[in-house]
Amino acid sequence: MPDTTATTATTAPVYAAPVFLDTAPAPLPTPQTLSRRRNVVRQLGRFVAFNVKMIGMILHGAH
Amino acid sequence: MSRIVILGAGIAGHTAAMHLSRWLRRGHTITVVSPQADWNWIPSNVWVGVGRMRPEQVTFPLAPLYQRRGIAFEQARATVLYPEGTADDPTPQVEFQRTGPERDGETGRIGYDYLVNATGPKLNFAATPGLGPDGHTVSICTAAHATGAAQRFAAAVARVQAGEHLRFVIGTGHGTCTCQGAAFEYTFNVEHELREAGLRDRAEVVYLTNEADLGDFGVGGLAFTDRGYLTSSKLWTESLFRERDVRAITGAGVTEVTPTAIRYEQLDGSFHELPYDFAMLLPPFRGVGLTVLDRSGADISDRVFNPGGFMKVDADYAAKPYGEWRAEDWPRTYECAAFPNIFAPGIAFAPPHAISQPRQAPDGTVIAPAPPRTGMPSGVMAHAVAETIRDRVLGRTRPAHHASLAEVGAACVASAGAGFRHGSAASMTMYPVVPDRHTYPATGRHPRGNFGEIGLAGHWVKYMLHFLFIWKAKGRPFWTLIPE
Repeated sequence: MPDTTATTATTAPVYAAPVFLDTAPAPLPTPQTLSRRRNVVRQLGRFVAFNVKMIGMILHGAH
Repeated sequence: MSRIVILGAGIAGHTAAMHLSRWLRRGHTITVVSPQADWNWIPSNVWVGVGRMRPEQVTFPLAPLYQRRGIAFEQARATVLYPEGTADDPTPQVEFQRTGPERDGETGRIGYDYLVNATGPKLNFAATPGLGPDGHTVSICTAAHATGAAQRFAAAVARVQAGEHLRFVIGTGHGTCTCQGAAFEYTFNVEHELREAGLRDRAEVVYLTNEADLGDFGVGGLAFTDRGYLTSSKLWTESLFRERDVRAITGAGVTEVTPTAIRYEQLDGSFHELPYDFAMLLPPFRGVGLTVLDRSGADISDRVFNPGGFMKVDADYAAKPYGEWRAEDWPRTYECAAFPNIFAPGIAFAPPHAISQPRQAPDGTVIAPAPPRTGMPSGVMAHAVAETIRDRVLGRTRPAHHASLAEVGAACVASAGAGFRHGSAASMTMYPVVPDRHTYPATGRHPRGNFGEIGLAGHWVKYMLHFLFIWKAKGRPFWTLIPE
């Protein structure tokens, strides 16, 4: 009778510690940039600009 | 008189129902079959998931609205399509099983002249052992899931407040997931809430994704002009991760979630284990699993659906290598290839291929985003389908309306933290969604159609869209003026 006990051996993966993406080469915003992103007056302008951008895209893509 | 049946009441199904109900007022019937009693503005689930909104702020009951608009509503799950009718009755029909509290489990059938399959996805948590609310992770895919996520998040925050150091992992729970934008949003909302609570130094936030690069978002990333330079969404997104000290793991296909660790394979073939304390991982999507029978009762589902359960429409499904993908491969009218009186807008249609570059690990495991087709494009597709059905019902001999993802754009406002003064969001537009390298050889998209910016204004836009789209979905005055 054939021995079937050793025919289904599979290799379980070996789990290593996680490797995180190195984002150090990415540009870091300056304090001035971060301030601009939170400046209410400036952001009101950006709010209008983004809405205009969206409307333009919707009109351009309308069929 | 025409009978139009719409399966699903998400963005696509509801959009089609609302427009058809205003165009076809007399003598026609519109019926929506949906297993859910409520409509859900899914993009705001991210705020429910961190406890910033209550579920009732992102949902409303469909039945009263549909009654007011003359739309019949069956709270039920469609199960079988008979596009040729049955041996006894040649009328095309749908079989369904009711899911409402009073008649749960009852079955019924409804005949149709036109069918809109807008069933959306089946959330396939079963693809990854241990994934999902019945496993060890939370989800924000539905308002109920997001409510559960908020409870688990609050409990984790309480532990950090008590002095513990915890790891929060957010991302995709399988190698073939889509909707990376939702995971991105939840990541930065969690990070924002922890920072606002003064707990950031004791909380590690990790974004775990099947994208090969940050900023891919399932659309192969995008390039846009910033201060005179053509920059990439990859660099832009990495900058945000660096600024907010969020750690990232890319090119990862999660294979298993245990009560304490997430196991995943990466594109280089390595396997890793990431211990976690709180995890929100999105599931991959499948079609909802409708069966299709011909008149004799034979199963013809494979003529109508692809192996993933998505409906085959007017796309070019011929297999071809990445370098030969064309904008023309994508469907334009969403008309079912086998039955021209059936349409499948939104997630329900089978895409011809991905948008991001296909990738797999050395052992053949696919680790690449599936193409996103939710939100704004979903509404645009449903609008086009509704126009086509209207024309055919009214006997207008016009070509089918079209809304290919290679012809329409999308705006994506990815929240990065809530609050009128302290909120933030990454606002992006892309045109078209599917790159068209023939028309736009440089980047595949219109040079002025792509845009990206981070700031408080983005939060205001997302907050405004929350109210605008719920207003529109409720059919309140001037709702038709609000675009899809």
